[in-house]
Order: sequence, then structure tokens, then C-alpha cells
Amino acid sequence: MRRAALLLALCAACDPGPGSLHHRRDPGALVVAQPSDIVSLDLARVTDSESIEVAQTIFDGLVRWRPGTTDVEPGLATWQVSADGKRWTFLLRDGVHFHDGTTLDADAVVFSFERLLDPKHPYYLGGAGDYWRALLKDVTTVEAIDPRTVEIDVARPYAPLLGDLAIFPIVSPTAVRRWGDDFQNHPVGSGPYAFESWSPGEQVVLHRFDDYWDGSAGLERIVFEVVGDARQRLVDLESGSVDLATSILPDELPFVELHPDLQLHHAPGNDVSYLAFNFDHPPFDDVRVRRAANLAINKEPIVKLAFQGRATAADGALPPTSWAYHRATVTYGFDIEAGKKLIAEAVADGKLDPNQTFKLYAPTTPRLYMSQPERVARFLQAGLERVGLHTELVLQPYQQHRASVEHGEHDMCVFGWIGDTGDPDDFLYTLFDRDNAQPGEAQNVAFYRDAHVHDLLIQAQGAIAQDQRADLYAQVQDQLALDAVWVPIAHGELVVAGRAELDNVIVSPTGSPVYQLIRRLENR
Amino acid sequence: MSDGRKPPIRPTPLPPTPGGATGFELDVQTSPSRKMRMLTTRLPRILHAPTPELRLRLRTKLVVAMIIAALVPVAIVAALASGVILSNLEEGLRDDADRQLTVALNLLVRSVERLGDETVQMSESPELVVAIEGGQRAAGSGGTVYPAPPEIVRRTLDAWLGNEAAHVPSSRLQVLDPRGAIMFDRVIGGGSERFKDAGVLADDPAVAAGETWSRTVRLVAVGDHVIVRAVAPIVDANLALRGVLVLSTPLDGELADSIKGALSADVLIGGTSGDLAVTFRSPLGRRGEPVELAPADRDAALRGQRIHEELDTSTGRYTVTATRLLDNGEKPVGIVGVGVDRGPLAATKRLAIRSLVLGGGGALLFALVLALVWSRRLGAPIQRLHRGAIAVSRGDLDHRIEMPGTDELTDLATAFNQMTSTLKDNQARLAARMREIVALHDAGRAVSSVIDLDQVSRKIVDAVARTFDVQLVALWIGGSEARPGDGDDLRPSAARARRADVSSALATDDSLAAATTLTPFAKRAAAARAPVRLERAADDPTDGAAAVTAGSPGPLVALPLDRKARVVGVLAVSRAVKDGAVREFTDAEMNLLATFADQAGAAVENAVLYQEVRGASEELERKVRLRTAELTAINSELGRALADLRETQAQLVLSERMAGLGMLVAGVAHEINSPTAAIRGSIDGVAAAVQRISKHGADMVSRAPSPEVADRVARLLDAMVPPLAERPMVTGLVARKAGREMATALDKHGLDRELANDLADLGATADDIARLAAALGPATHLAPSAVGALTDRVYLARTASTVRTAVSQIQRIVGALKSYSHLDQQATRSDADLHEGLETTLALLHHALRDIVVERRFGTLPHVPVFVDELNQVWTNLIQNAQQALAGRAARGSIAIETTATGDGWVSVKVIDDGPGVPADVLPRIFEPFFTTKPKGEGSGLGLGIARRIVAKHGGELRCESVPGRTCFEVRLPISTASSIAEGDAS
Repeated sequence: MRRAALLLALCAACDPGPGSLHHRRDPGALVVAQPSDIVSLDLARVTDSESIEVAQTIFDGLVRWRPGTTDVEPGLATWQVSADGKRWTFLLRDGVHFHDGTTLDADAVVFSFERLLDPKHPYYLGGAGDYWRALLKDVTTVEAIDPRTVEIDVARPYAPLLGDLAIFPIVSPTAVRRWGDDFQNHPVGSGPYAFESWSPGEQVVLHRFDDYWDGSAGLERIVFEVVGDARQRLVDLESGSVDLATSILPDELPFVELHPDLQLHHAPGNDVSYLAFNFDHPPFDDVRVRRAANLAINKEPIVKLAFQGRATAADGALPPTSWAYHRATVTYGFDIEAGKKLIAEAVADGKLDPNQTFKLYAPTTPRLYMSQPERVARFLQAGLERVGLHTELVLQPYQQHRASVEHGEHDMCVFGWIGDTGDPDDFLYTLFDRDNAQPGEAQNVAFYRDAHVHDLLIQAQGAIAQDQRADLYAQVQDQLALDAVWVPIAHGELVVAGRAELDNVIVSPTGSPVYQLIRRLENR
Repeated sequence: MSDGRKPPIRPTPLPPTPGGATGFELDVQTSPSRKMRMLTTRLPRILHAPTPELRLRLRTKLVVAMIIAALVPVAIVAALASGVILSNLEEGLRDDADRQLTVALNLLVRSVERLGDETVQMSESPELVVAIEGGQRAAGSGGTVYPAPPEIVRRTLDAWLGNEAAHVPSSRLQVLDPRGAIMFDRVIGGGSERFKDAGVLADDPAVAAGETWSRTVRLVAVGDHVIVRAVAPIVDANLALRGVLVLSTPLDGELADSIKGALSADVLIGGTSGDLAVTFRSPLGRRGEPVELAPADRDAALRGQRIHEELDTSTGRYTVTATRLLDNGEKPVGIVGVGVDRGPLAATKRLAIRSLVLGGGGALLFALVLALVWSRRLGAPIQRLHRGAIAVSRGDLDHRIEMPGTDELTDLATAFNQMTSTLKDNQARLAARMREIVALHDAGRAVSSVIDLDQVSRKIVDAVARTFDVQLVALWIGGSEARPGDGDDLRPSAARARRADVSSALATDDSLAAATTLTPFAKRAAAARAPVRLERAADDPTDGAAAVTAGSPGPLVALPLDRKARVVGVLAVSRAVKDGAVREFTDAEMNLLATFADQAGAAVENAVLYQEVRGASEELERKVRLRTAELTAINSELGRALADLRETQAQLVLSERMAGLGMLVAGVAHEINSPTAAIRGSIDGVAAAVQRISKHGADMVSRAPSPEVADRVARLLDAMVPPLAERPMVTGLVARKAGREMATALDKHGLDRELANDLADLGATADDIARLAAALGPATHLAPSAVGALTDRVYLARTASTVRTAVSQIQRIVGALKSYSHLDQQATRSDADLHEGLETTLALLHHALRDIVVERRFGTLPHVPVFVDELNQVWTNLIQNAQQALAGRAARGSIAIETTATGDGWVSVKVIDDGPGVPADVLPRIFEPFFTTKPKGEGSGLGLGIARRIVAKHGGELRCESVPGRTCFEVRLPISTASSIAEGDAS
């Protein structure tokens, strides 16, 4: 009996039992909590940030961004451009393979473009590719010169092409032919991670591509888990079942910062928030009024109090991380008295009725670049009031607000912009060129139509050398500051929360970490 | 020693030790069984040689083994179990501590964060700005603010705080003005002692952040303590900075208490150096003393690792897990940990160890008792078995082991007893068997050493009499000496009986008579071909009387001597009835008797066979002599027949040749006849023609107007005859058509048209007529004479040509004959052109081949050394054969003769016909002599056989292939002289 009892005790003791903390999940896997599921894995089809984030680790572009910036560097190819800027020649890297083992060559590149641009292509993407077709509208032909060389002809000199190509996916033609439309569920690219599985609504699993041309990634797997609830994402992160979480609530950021096991990773956002004047509504066609408003706004407390400190005060449209950023020669400090003086001059000239109240449009919906737009609007209102500009707020949900300002209903408006491609053209041409100042569909909601600026912007699109472009954009930025087209407010800051044991987490300006660089520290 | 026991065997004499204690002493002392020891010591030679080592006895071994068997698993299991359980418990404790620490961190961070939130909310309260102004509403834009007196400010702030304080956590609240001077300083919810060091001083750098509108929550190290400090700017509606609000609270035992409430563990908290405040409580509720971590652990914790440590404090033992606290996510400022009470674990450990010790002891005791009982119970029966084994080995096969019970030992004892009795039976059987074998051996040797039948019989009877206790032994041998039958003709051969009055001796005197009496009984056994066994012969209904007569009323046995389904004799044995007791023959005796019968049978048969063989060999010799004489006569006859045969064969070959020659002669006769007839036919007309010519000549001379004309005509005729003679004769339609043309031409020249037909028959042309007319001139009346002369002269010329042709034909035939028979050459081998021989043969056979197309496909052949005339016969035979195959067919047949040099030293001559072919069943036989398919008289059947022999003589070969439509005979001859001659000579 005693022996039997002892034997039983032995068996019980040997059973490891459930729930032991020491047998946690696979340390080679990086688990990322995302707020919503992906839509598709074909990077050429998707526009939502979750899908882009996942798909970008599967696909490479011809060129890529230097980690943490939007500077373009050679990716799958190096490039040359003809003197007239209309022909781009890409020389493909040797020995690059897709995840299915096929070799990347010029035909694969041409295939990737043609399925987007050529309606007669058997795998034409159709409506799903509208976004990319708009970006690449100037591309006329894409041609394979030899197995390692691709030529892209554009209708007009267009320097921002490179920025576009940094996120345009080169796909494996073999895989597209095999899967057809279902390629979006079986993506095959040449990126640092290869697709493994997707359980819709639950998770996407990628595994390290050991044959990656730029050295294999740090961790064996990435698991993108869908965790809809923001608070749950934080709980998972804290318990260690998740390594990285995006879209943490602003209120929770102090918790992450205070917690010794967690770390907050910052990156300057590729965005801008601003107060725009409507040039079509006098007196905002008067530069003195616009300058006075600039002098009236103290940006520092706004950034600290209305952006939870997760932003930097802006002095222009371009974020300081952009290679074309130029600190304008003319700047406006916080100077109420100087502002008042300018207003007085305008009143004296009869340009401004001191009793007039202007409509200041602002959205009520939090945006990525501005979590408390209404509060910002009130701070602005208070500032404007102090130099003698009376305003009333028109607060609307984002969609209505957007429609209103695109139609030019506002005298002034609070608005923002998130860059798509990282090229300065994406900010300056889109937001300040007269081409984009058509009421009803305006992106240039200041309705600023300066011919000189237009010339400079077009010239910069056609110029190919980056220093030449930088020079042109510096001139544009000086002119914009001189004309005080906006009161630039802030550039947001992107945050990703992660476990403290992760190393080398570099957040790119698009907000997603550069996954292949992430390592896990061993001694934690 | 007094009870007679010997001391234990000592294999080597040991020197006496002082204490007298040796290994063997130990053996004696620990031995519980005297009997056992006695056995092992008394029977040293029966058991194995005494072992020189210390002998541990079985019982001791059993006891030790059972104790080890009981204790080792218990010990191993106990050690494993306690190790695993304790390490699992330990691990579980650590896991628990880890979990608790995670929760504690969360709670701590939350409470820190909450302080920041509270600070922000208070700083945003609009009343605060009013209170700072000393209760005055801040002036609107452009208004001037006058600083209110500090007491008023403090009063208004107190009033404000009174409204707010309810939801603010225990902390020290300070309000600083924009220049950094402290305007207001209060402690909320607690004694001032606790917050003594928590507050900020004027111009504290922590406040500078607030002056740039930043809201911060920091963990600040102050001495050994950590202070949570939340800073928020106080701004008015215009974003103007009106002051800075600071809330501070120390991370101390009281804060830890608030966290502990949500945990099932204690909390430790403190700065980067010094002791950690704890939430441990003594049983009386007193807070435990601050504790200190090991420096190494503290450093590891400050580097960011989770450390585990066991702490022994005045309030108990704890497992502590700790990690660092960071300020702003960067700088370590303190340590937080949780402590899990180890009290329950220690109690569990003690309990487990006590249970294990008790259990182990119990197991040991139990095992010991069990071992003793069982070793005793097993030992005794083994001793009894041992004694039994020794008894048996000494030869006491009557020893029995008594062992009551039902276990395996009882089975073993039963088996032992059975084994002993079986052994005994076997020994008895073995002895009997030995005796029999000796007897058999003797008998065998006795009977096989003689071959005389009578002697054999006597030996057998003697051997049986010696071996068995018998009254009468008798042996019958079957049949005549030559052929023993199956018992019908048994006769007593030998017998031996014990005289009724003399018990010891056996004699043959009367015994043969007794045996004769028993012959019917012997026949009975022979007929049955099986032993007949009578228990009391006197009672047997058939042979009872005979048995009594023979003096064998008791047990009687007869065994047939059966040899390969043949009974060669019968052996009978009887046993006397002694004092009324009947001793029957046992099965063993019967077996032995059967063996005897076998051996006797063999011996009898051998003897019989020997007699037979001796007789047979004499007969054989006689027969051989007779047969030899016959054979000699036959042989000479055969010699004569062979000579006849050879003669006949030679005649046949000759006749074949003659047959061939006859055919040849017939052909040659025809060939010569035809030109001869032609010559004779021509000769008859020549004389008449010559007469006519001279008449026409005379006619012309006489009737010519002038000699010139006659001469001219004569010259013309001379010129015309040779070409006309060479022109072919025209006949039939052509002649008639020519006749018409001639008539026209004659008319034209005024000549007699009656001449037209004659001219046409001559083959003349209009031109000839023109020339004739020209020669005649006006003397047209001479035309008939001229034409007549012309006709006869042409006829003469043509006849001359015919005769020439016939004569040359005859010459050719004669030449061929000469060549064929090779009259112009010696009958030796000579290099010859084969084509010549073939052509000669074809010429001779020309007549026979007249309806056959002969195709010559002659290649280039070297000269071949042959016997030309012999080979010509081959060609004749082959071609004749082909011709005969083609004869009688409706269509024209063809024969092809193909000659080739094969290039490897041979020439090949093929005679191919397109006849019906040789049937497949006939083909293998065509070269046999006398084989023929031709009707009688047409062929001897020797032709092809002779041809093959001739070819073989040349060292060549003759082959035939045949399918319907193509039959090919191929002769292959060697070009080389040496080989062909050698082979030719050999054949």
C-alpha cells in the first residue's frame, strides 16, 4: 500500500501540470497586437495601415526607405535617370529570390507593373488597383531590357516616382499565375518575411525568409494578432503575451512610460496639422492679417497640453525628418504686440473690419495627427482673439468638416495631412499648388494660387538630382513662410509600445516598426 | 564435535588466528540450519569441490536480497518523489511570486499614473486659477493682474482644496508661482511625518518642466527613498502660465500596503540603496523591519533582471522576487518586489520528509520479517530435496521424498520421486536389453559366419536355445533348394528339444521328429505371415493334438522368417509347463524372438541364395559357350552379306551413272540427228537446183540478143546473190504484200508480172527489179530465165549456209562430249574454270532444257583445283534435278545458275529453280541413297547422294534450301588446295 502510494505521489510529481509561467510562448516569435484584421495581403490592393504594415514585410520594392526615414536608397535595384528625366533605368540586384524559390528578374518587375497598369494583362487588378494607378499615372511604359535591367518611361519628368516605388510591391509572377485572384491570400514576394498563414479575425503568421538578400531577419516569426480592444492590447503587452502593440490610447501612454517592463518607441510622424486661411475670403488675402495670426499663436503650450506632448511644434509644412525640410528664413515668434500692430495697419487700410467675426472650422473627430482637435481650436481661438481677430467655431465630424473645407466654406480651418510616400512633393505640391485649389475637391484648402510657387513645384517634380530638388523646395518653403499661408501647428509623433526586452525597434515615418531589424535581448 | 559432526571443510589450512575468528567461524555462527551444514560438509565428493571462498548460505542471501529489493525502490522512489515534489513546490512558489510581481507592478504604476491624472485634473480646474489670484477673477485679455497678498491666496487655495481633496490620494500638494516660489504647501490624507521629505523646494528642477507647460509624472530618488512626483502647469484661458501644481507621495510601506490589498503576497519597495520597506506583519500586526537584499541581487535587479531570493526575517521566511523601477523609462530609481510566505512550503516539506522516513522504516521492517519467514519456509524443503538428490546419486533408487503441500516445491518433490522410479525401471530395462543384445550379437556372428544352409539352421536353433528358457526350438526351411515358397513346402531343417527327464541338456535326437509333427503349425504361421502365439498349445483346436505329441503342450510360438514379402522359413519355440505353472512369452521376449527371426531369415536367405548363385553360374558358363559358337557362324554370314552389299552398291552407282549417261546419249543423239537431217534434206535439193541453174544459164545464152547482154545479166546475178542469201526468208502476209509491189514494179519495166511471187519469195526489192530491167535492156524475154537462175542460186547459197551451221553444231556437241568425259585430261585434280564445266554440262543438256529459260549469273571465279569430270557429274545431277522438277508444268520454268566467290576462301555455285519446291518432310532425306520421289525408272535415287559425296571429296559442301517457287542447291568449294586435298583425301 505504501509503495503504491509512493508511486502515485511520484507520478503526480512528474506531471508538469498546466499554467507554468516558465513555459511561455516561443521566444523566436514576435507577437504584434493590431487593432483590426488585415483586408488583403496583396500590397498592390490595400490602403489600410494594418494590411500595409503586414504586407510591407512580405514584399520589397525596387527601392526602399532608409530605416526610420523617408530617404530613398537602393532596394531590389539601383537606378539611373536620363537627362530629360523621362526614362528611369533600374539595374536589378543579382541573386534575389522570391519566397517560392523563383528568381527575381526584369520580367518579374514588368509583370508586377503590368498587372496594375495594363488592362489587357491576364492578371489585371482592375478597380482594386485604383490607388496605385493614380500614383503611377505618369508611367507610360515599363520594359525589360535584359534580365537585370528594367526601363520605366514617364510622360513627364517626375522625381517623386522613387518615393512611390519604395512601397510598390514586386511580386512573384509564378505565384500570381498559380493563384490568380487568390494571390492576395497567398502572397509571394521577396521581403524579409514570408507568408505562413492567415486565420481571418485572429492572426497572420509570417516566417523569416532565410534567403533574404539583405541578411536574414532577427526573429524567426512574426505573429500579427488582432486585438480589437485598446486596453486589452495593453494588458497583453504587460503580461508578455504580446511583444509590440500599436494604437495605444493616448491616456495609457504614461502607464507604458512608467512601467519598467515596457518601452515606448517614438518616431516623428510624417504628418502636419495646421490652421489654413482661405485666400478667397478677404481679409485673408492680406498677408498682414495672416502674419498677425501667426504671431498670435503660442504653439508650445498647445503642443504640450492638447497633444499630450506627443508632437513637436511645426514651423512649416514639411516634417523636420524630410530630406527637403528647410527652416524658413522668415519665422514668426509668439508676439502679441507685433500681431496687434499688423492688425491695426490692416484696419487702418480698411482691409479688415475690427468687429467682424470669422468662421473657424474644426473637426470634432480625433485624427492621427491631432487627438484633441476641438481643444486645439479653442486654444487657437483664444490666441487669435488676443490680436483682435474674432472667430466663431464651426465644429463638425470629420467627414462633413472635410467636405466643407474642400468646398472653401471656411474663413479659417484646422486641418492636417499625412504623407503617403515620403516625398516632399506629396506635401508641398498637394497642399500648396494651384492645381489642387479647385473648390469641391481642393487639397490646397488655403486656395493659395501663387504662380511662382507653382513653377517651382513643377520644376522640382521634373528635376532629378536630389540636391537640386532640395534647393527648389527650400525656395518654396521660404515663399510659403513669407506669404504666411498657414499657421503650421504641429508634427505628430508616432508611438509603438513594446516589451522592454526588444532591441533595435526603429519606427518608420509610416508608423510601423522595421520588423526585420528587431532583436530580442537574451538576458531578460 | 561431540555429536559426531565434522568441522567445516577447510580447503587450505589456515594459520590459527589469535581470536580464533575466521570467515568460516562466521559461517558457523550465522548458520541457523545445522542439517544443511552437515550435508554440505559430509558429502564433499558428491557435491562440487568445496569452494575456497566464504559461503553465504541461501537463507542469508534470500534475506539480504529481499531487504534490498524492498528498500532500494523505496529509497529511490522516496528520493525522486521528494526531490520532484519539493522542486516543483519551489518552482511553483517562484512562479507565483513572478505573477504577483507582475500584478504588483501594474498596481504600482497605475497608482503612480493616477497621481499624475489627479494632478492634471486639479491643474485644469478653473477654480484653481481663481484661487491663485486670491479669489479675484483673472482679468480679461489686456487686463492687469495685481498679485494678491499671500495669506489671501493661501486662504482661497485652502477653500479650493477643501472641495477637491476628497478624491485626491494621500500626498503632499504644493502650488508654485510661475517664478518657482512656493505659494502653497499642504499634506492631504495623512500625517505630515510621512511626507516630510517628499515635497519640492523652491526652484526645484522638477518644476521647470511645468514652467514649459509640460505635465510629468516622475519617480524621483531622494536619499534612500523614492518619491512619486506629478507636475502640471496651471494655465489660464489664454494659455498664460499662472503657476505649477505639484503632488508628491513617497513609495513607502504605506503605499505598499495599498497594493498588498489586491495581492496574495507582501510587497517590498525602496530606493536604489538602503533597506526596502515591507508589508510583512508580525502575528501581532506589527510591521516587519525593513529588509536588505543581497548586493548581487540588488545590482542584478537594478540592471533590469527579475531576481529571486529567500529572505529570513523576524516575521518569517519569504521567497522574494524583485525588479527595478525606472524614472521616465530610463534611469533606475528604486526596487519593487513581492514576498511570498515560505511557511506553508516549509510545513509541507517537513511533512513530506517525515512521511518518507516513516514509510521507509516500515518498509524495511516489513521486508525483514517477510524475508525471515519465507527463507525458513523455503529452506527446509530444499534441504529435503538436497538429501534426496544425494541419496539417488549414491545409488539409492528407493529413496522417496515426502513433501506435503501444493506448491512448486511439492511438485518438485513429486517429480523427483517419479524421476527416481523411472530411473530404476530404466536401469532394469537397460540390463535386460544388454543381455539380449549380447545374445543377438552372438547369434548374428554365429549365423553369418557360415553359408551352408544346414549349418546355418543348426546355429540358429542353438542360439535361440541358449538365449531363451525353452522346451523346444525348431526351424523350418521353405520349399525346394532353388525356390523357397510361401510355406506350402516347409520342411524341418533343425530342431532342439529338452528331454523330459534330463532338464539340463538339449538334444536333436528326437527333436526333428517333434518338429515334423508341428509342421502344420509352422505352415499356419507362414500362411498368416505373422507370429502365431498360443498360451497353451494343448488347448488349441487345430494344432493342440500335434503339440501334445511333440511334447509342447504349454506356451508355443511360431514366427515366420519373412524376407521381402517371401517367407523363407518358420521358427517355433515352446516352453515347458513347470509344476503346473505356465510362463508365457513376454512382449520383450517376443520382440527379441522377432529380431532373431529377422536375423535367421537373413541368414537362411543368404544361404539359399548362395546355393542358387552357385547353380546359376554353372548354367551361365554352359550357355555362353553355346552362344559363342552361334555368333561365330552368324558373323561369317554377315561378312558375306556385306561383300554382296558392297558389290550391289557399286553396281548401283554404276547404273546411276549409266542412267545419266543414257539420258545424255539420248540428248546427244537428238542434237546430232537434227543437223544431220537438215544436211540430208538440203543435199536432196542441191542436185535439182544445180540442174535448173545450168538449164537457165543455157537458156539465157541462147536467147540473149547479144553475148554482152547475157554477160551483163550474169554479172548482175553474181552481184545480187550474196545479199539476197543473207536476207531473211519472207513468208505469208509480208510475201504477199511484197508480191503486189513486185508486180507493179515488173509492169513498170515491162517485165512479166508472173515473176512477182518468185521475186517476193527471194526478198527482192523494186530496186533489184530496176537493176534487172536495166541489165536486160530490151531483152525482156530473158527475165524468167534470169529470175529462175537467181532463185536457184540464192537457194544454193542458203543451203550451203544451213549445212555449215549443222556441221558446226555437230562439232560443238562432239567437243562438249569430249570435254565432259574429260577424255583429254588425266583423272587428277587440276585448276579449272568452273564456268567451263557448267557451260559444257548445259550444252549436253541443251535438248532437255529446250522449254526452260536458263539464266547465267556468273560472277568472277578463280580457278579451283577439282576433279573436273567428277564435278561435271555434280552439275549434271543438279541441273537435271532442276529440269525434272520443272518438267510437266504448264508455264515455262526457269533455272538460274549463280556463281560467286565468297571472299573467305570459298566459291559458291547455286542452281536455283522456280519449281514447286521440295516438301519440308522430304527435305532432310533428299541426300539419302535410293531416296527418290520420281516415278520408278526415272531416277535411281542415288543422284544427289553421289553429288554430295563428290562435293565432300573436294572438301566442300552441298546444301539445299527449298520453299515453293524457289529451290536452291548450293555447292561450296574451297579455293585453297591444301585444305581441299587433305579433306578430299580423308573422305
